[in-house]
Amino acid sequence: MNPEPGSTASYSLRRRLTFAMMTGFLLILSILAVALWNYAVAAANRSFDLLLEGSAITILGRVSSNANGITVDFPPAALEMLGLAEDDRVFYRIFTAEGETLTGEADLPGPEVDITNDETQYFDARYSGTLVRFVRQRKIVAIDDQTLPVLVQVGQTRIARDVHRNALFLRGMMVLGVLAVAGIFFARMSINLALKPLSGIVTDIESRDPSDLRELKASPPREIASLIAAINGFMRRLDASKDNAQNFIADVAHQIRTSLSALNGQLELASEPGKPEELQRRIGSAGLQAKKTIALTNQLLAHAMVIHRADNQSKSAVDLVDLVTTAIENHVKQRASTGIEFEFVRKDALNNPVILGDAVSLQEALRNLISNVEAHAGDRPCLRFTIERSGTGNRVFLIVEDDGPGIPHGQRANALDRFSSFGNSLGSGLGLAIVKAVMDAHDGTVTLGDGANGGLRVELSFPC
Amino acid sequence: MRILLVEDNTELATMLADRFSAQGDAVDVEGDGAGADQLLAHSKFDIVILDVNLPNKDGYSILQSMRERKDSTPVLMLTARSEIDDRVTGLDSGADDYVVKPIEFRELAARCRALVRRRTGQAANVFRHGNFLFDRSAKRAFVDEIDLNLRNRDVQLLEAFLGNLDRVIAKEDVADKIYSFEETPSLNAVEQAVTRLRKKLEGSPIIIRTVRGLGYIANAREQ
Repeated sequence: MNPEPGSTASYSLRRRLTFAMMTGFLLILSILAVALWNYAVAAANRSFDLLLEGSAITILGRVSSNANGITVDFPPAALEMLGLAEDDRVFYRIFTAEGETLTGEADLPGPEVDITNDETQYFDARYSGTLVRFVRQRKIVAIDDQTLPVLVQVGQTRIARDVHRNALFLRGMMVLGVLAVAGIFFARMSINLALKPLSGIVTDIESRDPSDLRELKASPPREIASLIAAINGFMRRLDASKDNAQNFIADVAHQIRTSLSALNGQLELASEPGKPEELQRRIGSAGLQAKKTIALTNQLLAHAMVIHRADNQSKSAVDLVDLVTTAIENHVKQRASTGIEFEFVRKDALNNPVILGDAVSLQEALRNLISNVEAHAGDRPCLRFTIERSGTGNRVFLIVEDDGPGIPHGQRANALDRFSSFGNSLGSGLGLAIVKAVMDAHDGTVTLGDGANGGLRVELSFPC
Repeated sequence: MRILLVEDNTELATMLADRFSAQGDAVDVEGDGAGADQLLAHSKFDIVILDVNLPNKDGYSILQSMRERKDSTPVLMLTARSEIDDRVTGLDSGADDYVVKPIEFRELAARCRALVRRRTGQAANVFRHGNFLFDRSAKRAFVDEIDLNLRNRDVQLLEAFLGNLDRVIAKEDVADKIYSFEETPSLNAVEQAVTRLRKKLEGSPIIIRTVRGLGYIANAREQ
């Protein structure tokens, strides 16, 4: 995968995994290093301690007693055994439990003598300016009728021993290091291998032209199958919405062209010579056509505005009672002689139902519903707004009912679609589509039904 | 009326100016935002018709400068539907009204007259609309010069409605406006008072509608 194609990625998966791997390896490596060090120390001590002990035993074997007391026939082999380590110095002392030195260095350090202890004692102590490893052993010698404990302490500096220890440790560490490097290498390899399907997808997407919204062909591993499915789903939706947009533009172009052609035709007709009353009639119908075109344009722009606001407008608290009040005021202001009789019913008297929404879009929806009544429902239509809460309290309904002719059952399914107008001369066929778009933007629904007084009942249901 | 029309679309501006002139109004047309601002700072108009999108200075800024100068000339905004936002619909910008493009001249003229009337009416204590005349100081109302013989209660009610034209007033608020604390009227009494006033206003352009469940809304019909 190309590492930096417009690198907006906030992190690299590979770097992350590698880092995690390295941390793990480092942790294991340090634990192993401690263990290895302890092992090297123990192993070096064991082998060199055996030599020391052998030496001490040899010396003790030559300690005997006779009438003069204790004699030591010092065996040179005892020290030669230790002389194998060339750079190390050797010290010894043979002494009684009372501290009387029989032979050797009288000032060798060591712990208090415990005559009951007949085990070999090992210890490190400083002597002659360096750290020396000592072994101390005891032997009971019989003199006359008495027994006398004699001790031998042999020491050797630690140079060879430390060299041996370090060699053991380093060799072990080298093996571990090679293992770690190999591990990281294989980890990197497997990360790359695991990420390979992703790079295939990148190539696939990058090589497409913008209109190509076919599904990704990658056969993804299970772990990223859901990601691919999500991308494919998104592409499908994008494709659908692109189709929608294209259909919409085609619809709009068709409607506007038709309307403008009609207007143009009527104007041409009006410009031809004719009787004054005939001319008057032609100009009248041209004017009507112009009005229709204006209404259509307004509705198209309202539709576009509603959809645009759905994507871009942040929602705020909207009081439904205020919303209805303003809608009525706006209508009365714009149509001073409207025949509509408004009625408002609240089934929820406690407090005003407030929803989260975009007041301008919602106002547009209500404006369309009121205009529909004005256009379709006779001379003195009654328009009733009802606000109601659902039994569970999680939805608010705004119901708009009129006593007009309503929409026949068979046509209700299509009534919310664009450009579905029912026999009205000035209707653009967009009113209910706008209402639907507004409700979609509010996660709400529109339901058409029969009004209590025989007309259309439009139920807007909002979540709250 | 002396009208300042601030609109940069020459065809539309000329058409509107022609039609206002034909009605006998004096119209000044200005196509430039900054120019309009200058003009407004030095001359007095009865009403300003203000487009939102203008070269050099937009409609909202012009309006803001006006209100900062304490210039309370009524302003009617012209706006495309796509530009309608909360500023306009809530009239937060300080505009008195707005009309959506494409404009229907008759509607625009009617709104202009209503705005000017509202203003001069308040100033002159006389409200005149078509064949209807209400003299606040004399507490008398006329339709076609015929005195409606309003009683005190009717006058209070009429004042409440004329002061809130095109706005829904709750029944309780109407009661508050026309009854004092001691009287404690029933809402029924309000209804009867409104019915009586409505009957007296028959033949006038003032319509008082009942919005059942919300209250009343009064408006003045164009004739």
